[in-house]
Amino acid sequence: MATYIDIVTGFLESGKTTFIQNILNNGQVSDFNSIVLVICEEGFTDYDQELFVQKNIKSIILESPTELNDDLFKQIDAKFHPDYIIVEYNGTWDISRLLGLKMDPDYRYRNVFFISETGTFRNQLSNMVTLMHPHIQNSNVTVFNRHETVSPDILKKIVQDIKSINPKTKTVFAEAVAPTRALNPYFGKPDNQKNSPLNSLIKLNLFMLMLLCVSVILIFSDFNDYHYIQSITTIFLSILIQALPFILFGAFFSAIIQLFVSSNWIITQISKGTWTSFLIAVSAGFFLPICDCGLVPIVSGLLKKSTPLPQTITFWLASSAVSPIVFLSMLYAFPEQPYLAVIRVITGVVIGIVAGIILKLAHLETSAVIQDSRYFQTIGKDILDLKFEGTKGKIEAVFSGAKSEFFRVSKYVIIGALVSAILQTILPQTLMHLISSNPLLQFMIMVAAAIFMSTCSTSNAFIGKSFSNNFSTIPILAFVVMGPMLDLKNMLMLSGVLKKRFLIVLATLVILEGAVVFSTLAYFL
Amino acid sequence: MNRKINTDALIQLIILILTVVLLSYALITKKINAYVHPRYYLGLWLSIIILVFFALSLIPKIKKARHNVSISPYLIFIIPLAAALFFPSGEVISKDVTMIESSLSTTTSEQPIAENKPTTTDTIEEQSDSNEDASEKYEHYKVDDVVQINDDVFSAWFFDTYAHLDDFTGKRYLYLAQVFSMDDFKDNQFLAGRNFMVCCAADLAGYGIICESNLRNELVDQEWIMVTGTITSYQYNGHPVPMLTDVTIIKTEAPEVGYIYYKNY
Repeated sequence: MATYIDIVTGFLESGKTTFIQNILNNGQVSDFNSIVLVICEEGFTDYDQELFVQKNIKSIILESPTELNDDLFKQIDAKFHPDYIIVEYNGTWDISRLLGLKMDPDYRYRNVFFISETGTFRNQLSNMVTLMHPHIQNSNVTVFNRHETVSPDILKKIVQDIKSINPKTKTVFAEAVAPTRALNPYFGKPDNQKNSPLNSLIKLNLFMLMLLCVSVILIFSDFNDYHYIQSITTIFLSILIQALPFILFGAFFSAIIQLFVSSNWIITQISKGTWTSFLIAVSAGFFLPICDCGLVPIVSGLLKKSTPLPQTITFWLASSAVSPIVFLSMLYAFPEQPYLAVIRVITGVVIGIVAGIILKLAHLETSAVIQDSRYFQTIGKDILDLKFEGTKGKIEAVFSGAKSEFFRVSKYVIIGALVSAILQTILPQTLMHLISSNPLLQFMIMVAAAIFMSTCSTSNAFIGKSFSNNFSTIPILAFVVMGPMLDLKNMLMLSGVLKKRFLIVLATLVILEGAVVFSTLAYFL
Repeated sequence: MNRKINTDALIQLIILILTVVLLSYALITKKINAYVHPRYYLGLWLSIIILVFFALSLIPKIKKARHNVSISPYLIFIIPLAAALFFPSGEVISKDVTMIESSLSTTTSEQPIAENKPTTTDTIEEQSDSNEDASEKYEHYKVDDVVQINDDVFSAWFFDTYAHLDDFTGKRYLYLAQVFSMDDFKDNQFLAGRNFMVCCAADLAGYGIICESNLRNELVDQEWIMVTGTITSYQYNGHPVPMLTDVTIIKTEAPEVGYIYYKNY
């Protein structure tokens, strides 16, 4: 029969002992005949000895982390033959040490409870994130005691803090008396636990549903399915492959910004006075001549450093307009109309600056639009679990930070690339049907194309050119300019840092500005 | 005796190793050419080195046991890895066929080139010296009075023929092409062109030169041919564009990767 192990971790005085006594008292473990309590605490313990006798509970006290060795569970098994072990773990010890111990195949870790006192939690977290992060990360339930005196606002923030460190864990605010009923599901067999497997099942189903939708679309299109899928996968992979070097570059740059550049320095650079700061924000893009998919991690890195929102957004929107590579690509895509390259720069810069100024006038601050969880998404040396010190440690930090940025951003790029690969294969025909001489409709179609068909700021000029038989110059220009600003995969990447509501506002703002700018252009050209 | 490990790090490691292996394979076998422009070679090799470093840095972390690891965020990585494994780039030819629809829309963009090229010829850099004969630089590819245009010079030559039509008129050229058809062509006309790649397969666009030939009916769309013809000026929608006449056509095998890589920047 399997032996289950529950770990209860947290700092001294957090209420671990009370929590464990409650579990032992409340019948949640009444199925077990032989219970062992492992206490990892240097100091005294105040367990109710009577309870131990009454429930036939054996206890072991470990006074230092060195006693956590591969023999531990062997010895426990030989001595007590337990069917349930509950560990009161020391919140200052490395939890992976316990989790990594050798054990009999019948022994199974079931739950990791992280216990904390509600009132002191946020303060402790900001001071000792290195210590606490792994414990929360490994937990499947976090329990907060004594929450009655804490305001609901703070409680909400605590839930967000926990979610940002470990989205899978469940946060429970427990009554002082007993572990609430909310915890009951965690005391079944691990295989029956409803929490995580159900979630992943739902996710898997969504995934299958998406695949089903895609196949339905493919079946109902009159074309040869296999060729269609082939075309979609080729376009999909090609977008990913060409984005890879840029994303890695962006991830490294972003890691360096987050680790070594003081936020004050950046903020003074781009907030020296309204006008100059916007100009600096615009020209910064000239010195970072990389694809827009590489710029998103950089922009996210800046926002996480709480740089002023208007200037950062201006930098982001204008960056592809002032990129020398994009300028060249415009010249080569439209060799017969070199003035289009110049107009592309000007319109891009204007949209970027105007958007920035509007945000400034609206007094929108970075803190208001950023995801609340951003603090623990920031790659700080304290979270990165580093091995080396000094220069070696710095290099390790950059690599480790870039790696987590890479994995974080890649998810969005994959989704975005998949959607645009599918649409790029299916949309051209649909677009052909919609073609109209109405300039407004043409503009709307190009906005849709900007969201779904934009590949990369460099190749947008050429994709735009391919529309030139059916669309007039101004809507095409709108596609080229607004492509990187509205691109779905960029938006998805940014949604990791910025609130979705704000992104919708920003996209609307860009589209409205685009409408004004390009209709003015149409009037003059 | 069992020991828990860090599943999170293990999954990341597997993803990285698979990516590195697939990418290196594609680069070594040049299959990557079906996806991206060769100018990405350096960037991709550097990326591979970085990914290898990422993978190496993960190895010691696997031992750091983890509980309650969330696997679902990594599910999404299955899509590109599976796509790369199950839809090998060897099938590029059939991909070309599927590109008919989009390349058709793009081949027609030959029209605006035709509209504007003649009037603004002198604004185009390096060719702005109107005294120079633009066809001159292709003369050394001449074999028996026919200039053989290979893939490396195709894009430059193609754009030159539109920009400096007069310089090319009357000269005879041979090149590898694909057959594209267009709605408003006459029965004996087709476009002998190629798919151009700027960045990656997402921006493929077909470009070509009009051919007139009695063999038109024997040609299938997307078919590969060696076409030889003499350039003349042809009025298309009211604008002079190059056209190949006196055409000889030899049907040929499809090349492994048949794209022209746009090299002008």
